[in-house]
Amino acid sequence: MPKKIIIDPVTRIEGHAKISIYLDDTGQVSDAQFHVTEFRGFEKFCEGRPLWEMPGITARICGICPVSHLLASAKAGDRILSVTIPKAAEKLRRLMNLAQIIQSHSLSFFHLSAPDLLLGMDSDPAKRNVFGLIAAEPELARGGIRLRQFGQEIIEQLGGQKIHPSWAVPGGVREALSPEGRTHIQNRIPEVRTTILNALGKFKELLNNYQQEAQSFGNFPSLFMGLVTPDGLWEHYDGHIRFVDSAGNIIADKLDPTNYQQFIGEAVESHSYLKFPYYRPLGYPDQSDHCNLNSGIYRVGPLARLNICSHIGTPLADVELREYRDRGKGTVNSSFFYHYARLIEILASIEHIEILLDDPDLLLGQSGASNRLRAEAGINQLSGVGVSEAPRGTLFHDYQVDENGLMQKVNLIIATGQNNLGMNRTVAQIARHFIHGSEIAEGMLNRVEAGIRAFDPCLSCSTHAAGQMPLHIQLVDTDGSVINEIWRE
Amino acid sequence: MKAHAIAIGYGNELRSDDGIGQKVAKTLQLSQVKSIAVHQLTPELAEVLAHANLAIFIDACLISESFQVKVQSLSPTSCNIIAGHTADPPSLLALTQALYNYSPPAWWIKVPGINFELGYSLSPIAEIGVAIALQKINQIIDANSNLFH
Repeated sequence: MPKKIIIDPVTRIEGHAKISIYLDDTGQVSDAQFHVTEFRGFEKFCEGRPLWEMPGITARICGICPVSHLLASAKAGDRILSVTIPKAAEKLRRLMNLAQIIQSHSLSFFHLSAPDLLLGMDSDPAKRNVFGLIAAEPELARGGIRLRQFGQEIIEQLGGQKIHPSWAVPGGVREALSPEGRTHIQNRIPEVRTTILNALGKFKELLNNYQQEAQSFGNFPSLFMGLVTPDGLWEHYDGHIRFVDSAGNIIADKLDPTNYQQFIGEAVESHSYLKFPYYRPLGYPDQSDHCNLNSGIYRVGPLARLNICSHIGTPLADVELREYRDRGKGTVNSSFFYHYARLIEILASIEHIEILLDDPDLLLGQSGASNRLRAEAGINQLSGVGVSEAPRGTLFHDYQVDENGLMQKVNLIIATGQNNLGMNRTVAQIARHFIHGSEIAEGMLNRVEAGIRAFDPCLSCSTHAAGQMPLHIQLVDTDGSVINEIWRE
Repeated sequence: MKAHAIAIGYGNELRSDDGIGQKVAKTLQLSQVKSIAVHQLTPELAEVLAHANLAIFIDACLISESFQVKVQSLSPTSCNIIAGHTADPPSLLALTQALYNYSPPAWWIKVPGINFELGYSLSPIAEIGVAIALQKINQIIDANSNLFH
């Protein structure tokens, strides 16, 4: 008799999700699905709000990555005002985005994923958590907390608070970085650089223990998408969109991110509140078509950003990138390597921050530096798209306003949503590899969850489609058989 | 060297009475108390706690849980594992203990609120609770003044 195994809730991720694993009569995995059970609705309830409120409203989509929404929203506002923001404002926004990447990636690695990676996926569940990590690797755990704190402090220095800072606005930013704040950040650079290099060293030592996971955690061909600089380097705030395929061939380049609808389509599936973005020219992938190289499935985030760029442009991070590509055999397709990519991006962000802190455009009020932080204008366009790289991937805020600047329509394409197809494929792949017959060890189910955690999904951000909330209620008995169910579409 | 006392008031200021904790923290003015107002209790606060002689947490509670301002002494417990970026006071103290082999003596002040809907202001009951909480903090500091010498 076919069975269904349900993991609900998926633990150690941001937001709420469920995974369903379907077994056939022989007890082998026939399919698996990743369901997002949250519904947020920002796209709908923002209609009618003034443009000026949007950074503050959309920042509250998430408590982990509010800066990402703040910046994408402000950039959409820049387009609607039709302004070029002052150089100092752009660089300050970049500084905050780099800090955001550091704090978010640190949380993901040290708090959410490190217990699996450093303690082992089959270790005692009661200890496979942050306390177990502290007991096993106290210095690493302390360093990780201070690393996240470093990112949070920069955000607080600029925006006045660590979570939901009211700082980036259409036209620029509200406040500059004070000289004292700059000195404080500079003084911490050596420590955080040492921490991340130690973490990278530790992770690379452990890689040999996870050969099986590296092969089976979402290791499939797909496209990769993200922002790059005009010269093709690693980018996090501006630039143009690039797609590469699983072999690293550039298949689309110098795409204007504000014309995203030409190359990104959004599909909806009944089993999840999360939309399913796909690369439009290649079409929505057939769910039975597992590894078709011509399918429109693409991934975003750290794995994608390191696949699409030629190099990062900072010395230590580029050394790590070369080793990363050697280990991953070129263009890296295994989603397990998201953890590795995240650590490299933390290092890249630290190096970029160090460079930015010496930029004369940031030294407001001092000799030769401008005091301008904001371009003032009214509504000059009735639509605008703001795009930046959130820690988890490319983020799009698409606004339409009326002549008074009131929101008429909002479309948000969230980083995690763009990895939705990838997460579903990963869950199915892991389940097929690690679950066989009636023996289902806790470590096996943890690997399915861990596969999702590799993407570091932020499900709180990702679910905003309007409409009546579909419900599926299942009554499942002790052997996994569904004995009653109710659907509301 | 450890700092003096730390008062951490937390909650969502956009949810009316859920902002009680932050209001107390922002109102408190005692020279020997460092006051922090935050949205959530995050793991980074463990380092702040590691340098404190005494800690006081302030949060809102449902009036159905208590009609009065309650003061509860705390000990570190990892029963509520910090699964991500948020924690409650006992688990944050446990994290501090695990990381730094020390956690300060701590109290948790819970102030009843009646309105947790969207809004910026506190209800009259919450405002009274804030005033009482500030008195309670004074009492805790006075009763434990030996920790600051």
